[in-house]
Amino acid sequence: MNYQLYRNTTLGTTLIDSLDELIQQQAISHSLRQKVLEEFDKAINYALANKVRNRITFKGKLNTYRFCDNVWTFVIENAEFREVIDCIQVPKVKVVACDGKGNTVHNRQAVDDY
Amino acid sequence: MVFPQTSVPSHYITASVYDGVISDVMKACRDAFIEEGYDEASLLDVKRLWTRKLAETKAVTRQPGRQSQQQVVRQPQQIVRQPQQVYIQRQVSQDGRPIQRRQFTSNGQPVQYVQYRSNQSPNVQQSPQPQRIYVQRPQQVQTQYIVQQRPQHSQQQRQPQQQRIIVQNNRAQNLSPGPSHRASPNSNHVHQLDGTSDDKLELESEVTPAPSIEVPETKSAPANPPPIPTTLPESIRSLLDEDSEIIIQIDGVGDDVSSGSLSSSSSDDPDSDTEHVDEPALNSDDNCPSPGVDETFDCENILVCKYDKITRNKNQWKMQIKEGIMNIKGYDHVFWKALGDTPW
Repeated sequence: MNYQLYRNTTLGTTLIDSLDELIQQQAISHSLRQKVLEEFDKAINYALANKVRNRITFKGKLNTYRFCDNVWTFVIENAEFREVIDCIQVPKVKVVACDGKGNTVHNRQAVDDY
Repeated sequence: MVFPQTSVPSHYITASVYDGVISDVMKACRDAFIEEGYDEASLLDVKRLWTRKLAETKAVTRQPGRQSQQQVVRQPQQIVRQPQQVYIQRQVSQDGRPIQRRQFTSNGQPVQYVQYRSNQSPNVQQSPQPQRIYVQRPQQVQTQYIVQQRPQHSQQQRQPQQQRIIVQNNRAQNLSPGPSHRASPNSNHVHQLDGTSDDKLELESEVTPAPSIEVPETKSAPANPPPIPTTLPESIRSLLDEDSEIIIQIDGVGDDVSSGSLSSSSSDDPDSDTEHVDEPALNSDDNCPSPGVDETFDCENILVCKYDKITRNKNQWKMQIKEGIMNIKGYDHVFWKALGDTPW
């Protein structure tokens, strides 16, 4: 269950930019670029599931919600994220959540929606 | 291998997770590069570019004192070890004057007493708590936001009051056509009239008929039937005879409930509808442009994750999400599980 959801994070976008730059320089091929991105999907999904164990709570005012293709999208205003010690407040945050038990076909579309 | 990282803040965990992902991707792609005919230099180029771009985003906060990528995240209570330095400790006497210990050798030369203090340097402050780089920009933004709200709020409070004043004034004029009132020289000045009568105001003005429908002053019932209003369309007028009794309904302030029938001289007062002209048309605000979808979902702070359970009870939403990466105010944070409680 390797989602492409995380390609739009900072880590994913920097990887894509780097690969595109090397393709422009003709240092790597397109197939190799795809292979690297697939390996990235595997690595990030594995790391988040197995290498992280912290929990957070958050609250705020739900402004908008959307459920399409098994993907929830929320827009929360005046959100407050709390960890054990830290607390972060933001005026607006968007949450994109894919099914934690679903297949990868639906969740690939989350990349386009996001 | 599972790292118990419950006590370390998420932004420190992010750096170690990212480093692990980068190294795993490089290891997994090495064979693919070789199969495609590319050497390891290309792979190193990918890694170099990737880490450089990631550093340029400044989205990852690293723990102070840590520079290697493969180290395990340590507990923040550990003191950062520095090379041992030697310096002279001076003791202060009760007078406040520094006392320096001295010893003399057999030759009579003074020997300076040196005291070692290990694992410390003048530049490092021993603090049990880790340094946290926490930017409090949101508070400033929030204070500005709050400050801006106050004058708006006060303005909003003033506006209904002003509106009330105007309405009361209009009502007073419509209800009391009897007493003579003269418009004040300052016609734009709005006099506040509270209650049914205001003895303080002594205005003399001529009687001006109210713009609303006129109320007949005759108390007795009219002997003759009222004439057919000329404003009615001809199709309706033709149906009506002059002898037929016309009951015209008047809604609003000028409605005289005591008399059985009412009459309105709408022909005499072409400005009878001026009162309604000021009111907004019905359903005029139904087509208010709502914010576009793109504007609603356009946001700098984004959280990407998977959901376990999303529930709703009336307007209360509860979210159980997991394995997420969030970019809040330019910084990345990772989490394993998150619980959200938001009303809609």
